[in-house]
Amino acid sequence: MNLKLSICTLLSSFITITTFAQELANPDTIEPIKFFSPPKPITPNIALGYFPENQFDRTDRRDYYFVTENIDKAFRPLKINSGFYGKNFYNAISAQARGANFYGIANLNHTKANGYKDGAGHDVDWGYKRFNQSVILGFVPSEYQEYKLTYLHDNIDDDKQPEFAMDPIKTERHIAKLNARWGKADLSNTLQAETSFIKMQRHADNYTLRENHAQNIYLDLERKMFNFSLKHDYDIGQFHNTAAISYQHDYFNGERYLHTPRRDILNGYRFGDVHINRYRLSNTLSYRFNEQHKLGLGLTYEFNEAEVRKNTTRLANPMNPRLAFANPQQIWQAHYGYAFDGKVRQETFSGELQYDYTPSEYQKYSLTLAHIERVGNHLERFNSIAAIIHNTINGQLMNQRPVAAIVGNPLLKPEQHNFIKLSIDTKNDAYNDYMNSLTGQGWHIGGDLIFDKVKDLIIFDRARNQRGVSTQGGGIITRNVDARLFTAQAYAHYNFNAHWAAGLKARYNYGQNETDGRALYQMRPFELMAQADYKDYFSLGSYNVGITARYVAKQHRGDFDKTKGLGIDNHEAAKSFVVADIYAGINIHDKYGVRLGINNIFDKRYAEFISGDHVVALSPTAVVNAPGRTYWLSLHAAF
Amino acid sequence: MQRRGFLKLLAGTSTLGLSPNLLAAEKETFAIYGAPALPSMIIGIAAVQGQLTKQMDVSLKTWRSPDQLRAGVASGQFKVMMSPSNVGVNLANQGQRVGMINILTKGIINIVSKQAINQPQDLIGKKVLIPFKNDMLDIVLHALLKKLNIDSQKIAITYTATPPEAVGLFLNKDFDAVLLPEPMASASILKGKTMGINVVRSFNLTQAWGEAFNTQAMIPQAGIIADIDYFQQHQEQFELFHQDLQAALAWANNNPQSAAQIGKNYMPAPVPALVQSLPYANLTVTKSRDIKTELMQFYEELMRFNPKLLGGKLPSDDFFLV
Repeated sequence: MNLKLSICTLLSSFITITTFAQELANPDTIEPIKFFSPPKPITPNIALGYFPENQFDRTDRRDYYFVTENIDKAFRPLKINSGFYGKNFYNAISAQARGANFYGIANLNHTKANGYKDGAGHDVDWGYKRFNQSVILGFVPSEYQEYKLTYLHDNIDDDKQPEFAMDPIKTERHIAKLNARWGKADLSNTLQAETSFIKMQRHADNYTLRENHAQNIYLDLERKMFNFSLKHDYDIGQFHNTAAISYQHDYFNGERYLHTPRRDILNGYRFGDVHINRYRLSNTLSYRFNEQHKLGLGLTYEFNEAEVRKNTTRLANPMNPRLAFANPQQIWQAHYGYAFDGKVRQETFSGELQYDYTPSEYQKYSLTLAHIERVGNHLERFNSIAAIIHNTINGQLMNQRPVAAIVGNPLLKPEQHNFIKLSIDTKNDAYNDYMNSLTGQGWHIGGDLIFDKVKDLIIFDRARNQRGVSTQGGGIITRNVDARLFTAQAYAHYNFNAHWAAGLKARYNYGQNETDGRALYQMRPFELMAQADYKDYFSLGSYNVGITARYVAKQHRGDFDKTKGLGIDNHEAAKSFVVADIYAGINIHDKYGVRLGINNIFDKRYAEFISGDHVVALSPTAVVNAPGRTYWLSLHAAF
Repeated sequence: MQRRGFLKLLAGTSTLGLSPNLLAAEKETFAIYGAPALPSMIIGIAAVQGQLTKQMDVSLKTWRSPDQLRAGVASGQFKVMMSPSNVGVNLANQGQRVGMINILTKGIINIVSKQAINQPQDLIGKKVLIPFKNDMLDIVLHALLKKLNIDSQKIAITYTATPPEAVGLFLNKDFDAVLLPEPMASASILKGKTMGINVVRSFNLTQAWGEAFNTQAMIPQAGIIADIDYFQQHQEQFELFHQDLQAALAWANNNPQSAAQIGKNYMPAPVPALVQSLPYANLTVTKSRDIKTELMQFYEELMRFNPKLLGGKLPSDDFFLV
């Protein structure tokens, strides 16, 4: 007994808070099959060791193993990264502190992207300047309270779009968020509130960064979002309940101008002063039968109320008083045949049932059945860009370039996803992380299978007098169709010993538009990524060497034909390819490090099937190849 | 590159991954069985970085319970073990042929508190938590108090069954201080920060011990013991391993984050706690004979308070192997 006590004195077992709170039936988990937005903000947790963002290179390098991670993740007051990636540069600096009642993280990062050569040696006119600042301040007055303020400012200038007709000259985002928690962090009886304000402004044009022989056009976008949510978690024996209520006000205004030497003329609304109020009620109730078995049921109700305040605003043509530019209502009338009154209300109901089987701390299996409804986003519902002139004398609408239109449908039905999902994640007890199994050979495997039968999937298409479409002009419209989606993802990691490891990741997507009997667009082709890594130590620290190969299969199924579908997919970008990277890292004393590598070592010329998505390039003007062989190096330091 | 080329490359990378196993020659095993505690981190580093790995297949395995350790020693399966420093004596007194190789910590216990406690005398009137009654932590504190003529009755001591229970009570209830081994002490400080509780390190217990007993600042709490016959057959290897452990300790102090990544293989502790605990765990690599005096003094104190911890008697001179 005393021997046991002595030994237990040295043991280090820790209290871990095991909460089984989860939110099921969340419509935000469903994304459109093609989504356009500025690149995601660089948050402080990913800013160190970040690779400059390139929408034309979708090799996921976030999982590459580097010993410099121990510098980037070290809890030290000051950390710095600086590196070049071909002709491009990325620098970041982070400061952090934690006291008994407060914590703070601040980060600055700057990217200067100057273009690259593709695998054939051709220059790609790509680039941007990005300056990002963020700060997180937390206050923990007691175990029962926590307040966190987050502010992020992201500024992207001169973001060149070689695949599209317009370049965002300036994209600026301010994101401010305040979180409060009252009650224990284990969510046993806890109220959480979140208030956030997001402001986004974008100016894009077709003449500042390129030679333009057509009309000079620019677009000004402004979006403001206010969110407020309250969430209450409560343990009742083996039950855990999460009840939430949220409100969001979303304002989006987009104006298109003709730029002339004499003056700028407003000739269309991308978004005609759109105001959306979203109210959401949700509840998730989980029951834990025992340590192994848990069942959760989530329900969400959403009321979505939208108003287009410039729906009928007259857009006068100063060059010809008898003509006006079509307002949003006229554009929707021309494409969908109804006179939109500027207001639309939609309700959605979602439900999700999830069973978790956790036979041990090393294995987890989940089976999910769900019905999730998603209301269309701004682009899908309220985009109103077309070259339509309104003759104010006879009331006629003249569509000057029908094929150039991009027109959402305000009365689109919400998507209804009915899916079954199986998830597996299992590892042996020796597996800590990739490249970290010292008590034996470590393995880790898992994946997801999702089969989704979608009613009223929202897609972009070209106007051909389909049901609900009143024109055959070939402009881009949105429709509801029924569809089948299937996704399979798998991963496997194997640590042979303290020095060697290998990993595999595979992904397959299938999407079929059942209404029209054709493939859905922008479905990622089958992809397999293999990596092998070596790590060793020396007197001052450690180093690593790694190689990865990414195989992307030819995509036979796509939406390639503008006369039959949307035509966003391109055969030139659907070819199979293999791209390989090699990389290495050195870490000295967890304070100083170097990371370096060669991406695309065989200088392979290839293009990603998934086209660029920083701007609404629904009809890309070119296939943009990914970078060819790229040498890169970054320095890392922690003080 | 076409699919065929890719498959070749894939085969190449797979071979690259398999090569260590394919090329590995058979070596004699040098297995250390360690407690899931901070000193195992140093052994673990030596096991992957040391010179001995060129000669032998060095590995560290953790035992989960004292019964497993006792059975492993009794069956002859365990030849080299890391354990609390009294355990080797206890096993030897039970008739096992084991001896002490070294000490890996000069004091792994720390006192953490909600208000600064600057000297042992300041414990008077305080509510103090101690895991395990009559065990090493408890005895160390009582021996120190007795030496300093501090009446332990004036301290409100509460015992718990485990260190995590002590941490939970300390953070959630009205207790002033808790005695904990590293990395638990560091973990409680970090945990306190998530709860808005300012947990601070109090007076240095090891330093206080040295001053009170007029000896080195040292509480020799854990180290490596070995089967005597096995040790005698592998003395050169043990000497090389000693150098590897010294290098590992220096490496860990210079590379705390990387060391913690290695350490978390051997104990269920979060990496930040392991990192923070390193400067406060008094890790050392000291041959047993070099600190025999201090060890004997420590054992005498244990004997005075709880002879069962040592199996009823002090170790003989030949217990100290190196």
